[in-house]
Amino acid sequence: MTLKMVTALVKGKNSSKVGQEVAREAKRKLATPPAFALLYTSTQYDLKELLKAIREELGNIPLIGCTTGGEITNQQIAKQSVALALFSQSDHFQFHVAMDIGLHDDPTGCIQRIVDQLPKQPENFPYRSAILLHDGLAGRGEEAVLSAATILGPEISFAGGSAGDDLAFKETFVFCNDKITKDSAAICIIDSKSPAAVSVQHGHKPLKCGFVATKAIENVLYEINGKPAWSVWKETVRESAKALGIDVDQLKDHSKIGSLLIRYELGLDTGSGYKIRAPLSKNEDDSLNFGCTILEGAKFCIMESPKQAQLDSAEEAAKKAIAQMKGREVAAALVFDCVCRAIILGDDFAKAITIIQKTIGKDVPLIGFETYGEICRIKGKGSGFHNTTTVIMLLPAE
Amino acid sequence: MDFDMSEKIKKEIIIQKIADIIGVEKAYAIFYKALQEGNLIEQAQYTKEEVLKITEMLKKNGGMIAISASLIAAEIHLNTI
Repeated sequence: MTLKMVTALVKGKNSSKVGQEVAREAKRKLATPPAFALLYTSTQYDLKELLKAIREELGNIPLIGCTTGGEITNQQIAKQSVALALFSQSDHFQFHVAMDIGLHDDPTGCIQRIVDQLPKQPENFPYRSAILLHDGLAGRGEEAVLSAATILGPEISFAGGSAGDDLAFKETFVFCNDKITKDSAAICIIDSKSPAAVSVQHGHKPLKCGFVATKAIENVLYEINGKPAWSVWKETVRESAKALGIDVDQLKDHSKIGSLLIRYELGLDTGSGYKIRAPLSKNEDDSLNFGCTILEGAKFCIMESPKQAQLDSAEEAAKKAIAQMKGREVAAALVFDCVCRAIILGDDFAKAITIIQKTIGKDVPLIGFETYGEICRIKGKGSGFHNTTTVIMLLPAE
Repeated sequence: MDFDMSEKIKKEIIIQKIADIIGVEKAYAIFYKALQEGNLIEQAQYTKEEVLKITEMLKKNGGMIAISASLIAAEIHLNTI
């Protein structure tokens, strides 16, 4: 039996009813017993009620998921909704899930405890890949990915994302089977008979370079070149923002400052390109909060994010992924697209998803979410935690 | 797994893996500090045995650099570097 993925997306007021509906719709489309479920939801629902209703419909199949900044399926891109993907049982795939807490204080320990719960790779399934989801506000995206790469083994490719909370930036949740947790990560191991494809692409270019993080603690950047971080950011982007109709000196509201920061992100000069780091908000002391650790001494550029480049990067990510499939039939597309890209692109965000669908095949079932950080770890490539990128994982039919 | 510990790895490959989390300039600084602490001289390439010694020195930085050094060591042991 080849792999099949189906998706459903439902919105509503009653969490229990929405859970029941989304699970029933997906079950009806699949028409055979599912082997694995992937769940993405807005935080507006009673998560306990929602998950209980879904589990009652699906039974005890392996499930992971998280709260998001927006939900995506091949039929719809939505906010305040619940998206569910069901994967069929297949002779060519096995799915195993596990989760644990304590990500912030001990990211390596947290990932190790998760991996310890997972079975060894069976001999008759030569390829192993993974989906990694984690608390998007734990500030440990980079550490989680590096740890997962070390513990799972450097030859394993994986994709995933940081959970969101509808841009409230208060708390995000990760699901595994019946559990709903914060400060946690969940992994789905995918053992298969042919390899999955994973790809990543960003659409930023340097606005100005030569900056050094002279004071940074964990995910807070206090000083750049010895000056308060926000004052340097404001000065650097003033003219460019003016062209977009934004007066940086008039920005007082936190959400408007957040929107500006998302358009002008940090680009870490890796020598072979730029790794994007999204500043999420400004503190009273003019320091900036990031979605992951910023190391003191890092040299970087402040980047700009033209809309067209954001659309082009979606297409490039899809092209890279489909090239890895080498003509094999694609059963499922998993998309992890940064919530920042959705803000930059506005109404054109749907266009980016359409571009991905056209590139990978318009009939390929697709599920995704708007993340607070993206994960794309490819054998032999860098650390794998990204911001403001599109990450695509493709699973073959067999 | 059997592999040759005297097999050589280019310096840039190790630096690139650190540069991916700290930026290329700081990565060079951290790498040279690790060489000094490990009593190694600068070379265009290092044996796998020497790289493992460098990763031990890199781990002293703690945090992400330490995790990244563990990943480099894991890649050496799995022969994927």
